[in-house]
Amino acid sequence: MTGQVLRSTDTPVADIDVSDVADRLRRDRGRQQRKRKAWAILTPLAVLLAWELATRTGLLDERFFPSPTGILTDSSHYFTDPQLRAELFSNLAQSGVRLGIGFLLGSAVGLVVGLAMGLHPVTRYALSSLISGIYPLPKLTLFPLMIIFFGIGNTSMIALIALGVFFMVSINTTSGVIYSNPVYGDVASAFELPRLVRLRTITIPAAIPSVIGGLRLGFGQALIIVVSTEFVAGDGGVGYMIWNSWQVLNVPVMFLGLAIVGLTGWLVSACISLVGRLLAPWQND
Amino acid sequence: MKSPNTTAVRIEDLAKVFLSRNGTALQALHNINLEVRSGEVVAIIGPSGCGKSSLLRILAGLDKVYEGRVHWNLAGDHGGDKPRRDRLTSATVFQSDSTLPWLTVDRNVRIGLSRLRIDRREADTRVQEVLRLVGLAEFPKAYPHELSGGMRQRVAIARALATRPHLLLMDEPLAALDAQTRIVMQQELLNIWRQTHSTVFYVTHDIEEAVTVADRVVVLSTRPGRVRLVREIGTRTSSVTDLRRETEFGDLVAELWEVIAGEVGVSLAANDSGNSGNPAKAKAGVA
Ligand SMILES: Nc1ncnc2c1ncn2[C@@H]1O[C@H](COP(=O)(O)OP(=O)(O)OP(=O)(O)O)[C@@H](O)[C@H]1O
Ligand SMILES: [Mg+2]
Repeated sequence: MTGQVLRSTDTPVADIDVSDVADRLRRDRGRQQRKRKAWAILTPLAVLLAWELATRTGLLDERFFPSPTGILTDSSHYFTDPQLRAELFSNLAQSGVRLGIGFLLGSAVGLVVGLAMGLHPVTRYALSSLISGIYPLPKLTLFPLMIIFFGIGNTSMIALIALGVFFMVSINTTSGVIYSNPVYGDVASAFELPRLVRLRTITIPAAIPSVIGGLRLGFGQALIIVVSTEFVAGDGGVGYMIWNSWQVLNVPVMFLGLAIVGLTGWLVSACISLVGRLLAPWQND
Repeated sequence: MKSPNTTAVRIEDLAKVFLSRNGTALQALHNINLEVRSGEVVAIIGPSGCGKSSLLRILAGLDKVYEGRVHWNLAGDHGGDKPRRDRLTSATVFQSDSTLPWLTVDRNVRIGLSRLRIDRREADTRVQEVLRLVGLAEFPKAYPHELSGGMRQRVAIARALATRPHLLLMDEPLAALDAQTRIVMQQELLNIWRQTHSTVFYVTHDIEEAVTVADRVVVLSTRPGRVRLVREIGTRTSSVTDLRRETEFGDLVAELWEVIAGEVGVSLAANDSGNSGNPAKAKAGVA
C-alpha cells in the first residue's frame, strides 16, 4: 500500500533563496536604469563632440557654427560680466513670466473646460466644432488679433500662450475622460457612487495619463509661442535675444539662447513626466 | 425583513436590440419573462453571445434602453429605508476586470461602500471580512497590476459582497479561477447569501456550478436569447463537495447538458448551412 505512494511533497528540490533572487532582480533593475541614463547622456555628448571636431577641421563654417567650447567660453561672459548678466537675466525673467503665467492660465482653463466637455455631452457637441476649427491654426497667425484685444505688450503674448496651451490640455483632458475604459464608469454607476466621489476617485484618475500627455504637449506649444512672439514683438525675452543676436551676427549668444530654450523644454517635460509617474504609478512607461 | 415569497424582480416581455455602428440592428434578447423571488438564487446559462451580460446590465440599471418591462421590488429601494442604509440596493461583479488600477485592493473594495451610511469601524471590519473570505487578506495594500487575473476578479467579488446588496448580479465571477478554488468560493458564496438573503443573478458557463449555487437554473437559447428552460433545483442541505457526489446532482447536470448541447449544436449547424447555403451538408455533419 505504502509502496504505491508516489513521491510528492518531499522531493529534495534545491530551495531557492528568495532574498538572493531579489538581490539579483534589484541589480538587474539598477543596471537597466544606469543603461538608460548612460545612453541619454552619451548621445548628446557624442553629437557635441562631432560638432566640435567638424568646426575645428573646418567642415562647418565657424562664423555660423562656432565650436561648442567656443560658444561656452563666449557665453560665459554673460554670467561673469555684471552688465551682460543683468541683460541676460532680464531677458530670462521676461520670457519666464510670459511662459509661466501663460502656461498656468492655459492649463487651468484647459483642464476645467476639458473636464466639462468630457462629462457633459452637450457642452462637448457645442464646443468641439469651435475648438477643432481654431486648434489647427498656427497660433502666431492669431497674434495680431490678440494685439487688437489686449494691446501691444505682455498681455497679448501671455494670452496667445495660454490659448495654445488651452487647446492641447482641453483636447487631451476630454479624450482622457471619454476614452477611458468604460468599465470604470460602470463600476461608479453600479455602486451608486456619490457624484463627487465619482469625479475624484474614478473620472479624474482615469484621465490622468492623458492629461499628463496634454500638459507636456501644451508646454511644447508654450515654448514655441513665447519664442516666436518675442521674435515678432521685439521687446526683450529669450526669443528676442536669439533673433537680435542673429541680426547682429553674435552667433554664440544665439546658440546660448537656443540652449536655454532646449534645456527648459527638456527639464519641464521631465518634471511633468515625473509628476505623471507619481500620480499614475500603475502606468509603466 | 421581507417575507421570502415576495417577488424581488419581475421581467416582462423583455427584449434588447443593439444598433451596431453601421446602423444594422442586432437582437440580443427576445421575449424574456421571469419572476424572481426575494432571496432566490437564479443561475443563467447559455451559449456565448446569447445576451447574458446584456440582461445583467439591464437588471443593474446600467442599460436603460430596452423593450418590455422590468420591475424591481427590493428592500432599500423605498424611502422608508433611507435612515438605515447599511446595504446597497444592488451590486454587480462584471465579467471583465473591473478593478480600478489607481486604488489599492483595500480602497478598491472600500469604494463600493461610499453610498452607504456606515461608520469607519464598520467599513473596516466589512473590508477585512470580505478580503479574508476571498483569500486576499494578505494583500490589502497591493495594486491590481501586482495581482493575477483571478485575484483581481476576487477583488471585484469582495467589493460586491461588502455592500451586502439586496440584489447581487454576478457575471461569470469564478471563471478565472482554478477548479479547487472555485469550489471553495462556491461554498463561501452560498454561506454569505444565506446570511444576507440576497437575491442573486448568477451568470456562468459551468453547468455544475449553476446546479451547485442556484435555486433555479435558467437556460437561454442562442442569440437572440430566449428562455429555453427553467429548472427548479431542490433545496439542498449538504455542502458543495458532498453535493457533487449525489446522483441527483449528476442527473441534473446531464439533463441541462443535453439542452445546452442541443442549443450549441443548432447554432453551429445554422451557421454552417447559412454559409454553404446547403442544409443537407449540415445534417451530414451531425450524423
Ligand atoms: N454595446 C454593444 N453594441 C452592439 N452589440 C452588442 C453590444 N453589447 C453586446 N452586443 C451584442 O449582443 C450580443 C449579446 O452580448 P452579451 O455580451 O450579452 O453576450 P453573453 O451572453 O454575455 O456572452 P458571453 O458568454 O460570451 O459573455 C452579442 O451578439 C453582442 O455582439
Ligand atoms: Mg457575457
